[in-house]
Amino acid sequence: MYHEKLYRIAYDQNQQLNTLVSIEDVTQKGKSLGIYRDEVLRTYLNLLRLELISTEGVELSLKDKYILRLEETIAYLREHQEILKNLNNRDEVAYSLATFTADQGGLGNLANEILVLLTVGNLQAIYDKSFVIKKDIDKFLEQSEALLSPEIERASFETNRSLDSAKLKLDSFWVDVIRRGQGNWYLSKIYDDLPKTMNPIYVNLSQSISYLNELLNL
Amino acid sequence: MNSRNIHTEVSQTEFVDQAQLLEADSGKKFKWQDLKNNKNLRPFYVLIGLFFFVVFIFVLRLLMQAPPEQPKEFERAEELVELSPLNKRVYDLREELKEHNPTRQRLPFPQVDLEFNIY
Repeated sequence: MYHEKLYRIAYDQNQQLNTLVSIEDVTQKGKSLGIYRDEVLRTYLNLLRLELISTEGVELSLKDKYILRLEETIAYLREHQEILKNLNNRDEVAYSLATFTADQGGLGNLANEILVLLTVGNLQAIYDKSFVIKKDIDKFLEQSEALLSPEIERASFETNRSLDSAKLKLDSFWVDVIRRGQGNWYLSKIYDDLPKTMNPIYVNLSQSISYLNELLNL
Repeated sequence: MNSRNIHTEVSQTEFVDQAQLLEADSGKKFKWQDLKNNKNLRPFYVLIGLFFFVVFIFVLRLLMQAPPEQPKEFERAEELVELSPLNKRVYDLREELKEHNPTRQRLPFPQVDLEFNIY
């Protein structure tokens, strides 16, 4: 933010004065801001990359594809930063900044797509754990012969139904993403409405976990 | 000559003549003996007496009043509920779900200008 302010001041001064000093100043400030921008984006994308690797629920083909894209972008940023550091000519700096805009204009969309994947991946991971816990509860109830009780049997059935409903929604989402999300920023468009889109799955999972808890306390 | 002029042309020395009369009135001293003999003041004495009596009762009541009881501090009864392993797993899962509420975004894209240039 600080470097951006300095750049803005230098840019405005150059627009008004257009002296040699102001031209030199805006060149230096622009170059400096470009270097810092590369640094910020590299750090941010690296965080996203680590988060994506550690999130279990993301569909594997999508996960690999986006990790690769992140790594390519990080490498581009590193290279761009190194080049920019060694530039002194005004036209070269301007060209480098323009190239960045042309190459990485969709960086925000890429980040948004990964954020959507992380959100759904986390919900998928919670579903997977819920499913495993339900199996373990069933085993426990079988051992204690509690499943013979019609009340517990009905509760178990309702829990299964709630979990199946969550699974259906998650599966439908992944299928849709794989089918439609081929380089048209489909996921990025979902990001703008993410809470609303994900709310039914979240509510479904929340209900399933409440059922699991009730089932154990019956 | 109109009435306004008549007033403005009154001699100022007239006030000096009247001054003796005024001094005679204000010089009359207040005497308690006169009040004692005045029977019309009895209701006033009764009112004063009542006022002091009420003040006395009020002060007495304040002094007799027991100090206010300190509100009892709620004793924290820390009840340690031991969860079974399955209950614990369900509890942890609920916490995890809360943490991943889709309305919260932990890593939003930083506010950087991707399009700035020096020209």
